[in-house]
Order: sequence, then C-alpha cells, then structure tokens
Amino acid sequence: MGSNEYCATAQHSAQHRSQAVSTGAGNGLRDVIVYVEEGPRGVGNSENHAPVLLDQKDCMYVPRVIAMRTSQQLVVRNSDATLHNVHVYATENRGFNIGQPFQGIESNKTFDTHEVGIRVKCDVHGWMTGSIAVFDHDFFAVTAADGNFSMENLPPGEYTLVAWHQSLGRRTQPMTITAGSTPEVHFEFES
Amino acid sequence: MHTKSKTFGLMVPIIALAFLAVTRLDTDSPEHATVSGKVIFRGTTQSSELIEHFWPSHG
Repeated sequence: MGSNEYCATAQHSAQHRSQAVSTGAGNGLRDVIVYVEEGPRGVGNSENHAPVLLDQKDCMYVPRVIAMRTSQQLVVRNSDATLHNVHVYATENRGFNIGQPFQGIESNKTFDTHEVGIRVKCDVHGWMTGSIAVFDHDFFAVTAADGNFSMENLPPGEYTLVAWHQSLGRRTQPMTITAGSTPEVHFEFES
Repeated sequence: MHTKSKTFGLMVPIIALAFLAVTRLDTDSPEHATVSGKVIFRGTTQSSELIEHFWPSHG
C-alpha cells in the first residue's frame, strides 16, 4: 500500500483536517504560543524538562505546535505504518530532514538557540505541517483546545507578553508583575 | 586528622542540601506570579471547531 493510500484509508480518517485555525469553547484559539519576549532569559534549568514528543499519528502531527526549552530533548516518532519525513526549517538553529520509514521509529533532537516559528513539514504528505518554538527561559505556554494558558513562577518585573500563531501572526502586550499578583491576560486574533 | 576529614565529609552534604533548599525557595517564591489567560479568535468565516478540507480524492 502506498503512503497516500495508507493515510486515505477509513481507518486513518477519510477526512483529513487542516488544523491551521482550531477553536474550541468560547472561540478559544488552540495552538497559540504565549511567551515572555523580553525578560528573564536564562532563568530556569532545561534539565528539569522531560523530553517532548512530536508524534506522527494517523498522518497528522501530534501535537501540531510544540514549545520547548533549549537543550530539551525532542523525540520525533512515527506511529504510522507508512513513510513520513520530518523536515524542520530552522534559521537560528540547525535544521534537519529525517526520513522515518517504519512504524515505531524514533529520533532524538535538541535545539541550542532561542527561536520562535520553526516550521515543520512532511514532504510526503503536504497537509502535515507544524511549528516548534525554542526558548532560553521557562516562561512560555501553548494554548489548550479552549484557548486557555498558564505560566508559573514569573518573577516581578516589566515584561512584554507575546501570543504567536502560525497562520494568524502575533500580538503583544505589556505586562507588569508585582509580588503576589495573579495577572490575567487576554489576546484576540482576527481572520 | 581523621576527625577533620570526618567533619569535612559531613559538611559537604549539609552545604549541598542548604543550597538546594535555597534554590527551591527562590524558584517557588510566593512573590512569583502565575500568569493565566485566554486567546480568542474573532474570525468571521472560521468559527467551527476545525477548518477542514478534504483530500482531492474525497472531493
């Protein structure tokens, strides 16, 4: 069975979805990377972060958007019984293009430099696209299906908070953290 | 000599534990904040759960 036939079987969903814009409850926007742009870089320890998984399952990237620390391990897995390749277009980091022809095969990668918007695609299946963001601090999050996010342990200070979406661009807003505060920040995107 | 060595041997783990405790306190300081929020999409044409398209073979 060819690679496209495999992905087209009913078992692997006859209806493949472009998840470029995915919304949930209350029009919450999924897969937005929210992060502190200027601030406590170098804070935290990447060794405290468990490896993060980029899976290829049912001919989709799962998750589609990944935010991770510099030096954190990225495990790239092919859970499909068909050929995929993972083409990573980094500019600040070393990109890579690896073929994964077998089900269950894994490759381990790391990124050394802060970089947001690293494009990921499969050259075999054009609908398979994703993004990776790499941070040299701990203050980032990816919005859940309902658009919610949370970042812990941000020290007091003046920051610029950024919300970045692969298709819709980025929004910024200033944020002041004072001792003991529990700020709430909302972003809006339009098509 | 033996006593000095033993004392030094005890001090090393004590200092290490103290350092870890201070680091832990700094990381989880009550002065640090948890920032939470929501990102909303105000699109006019893309309000469904997923923007879907079909493979050419599926029309």
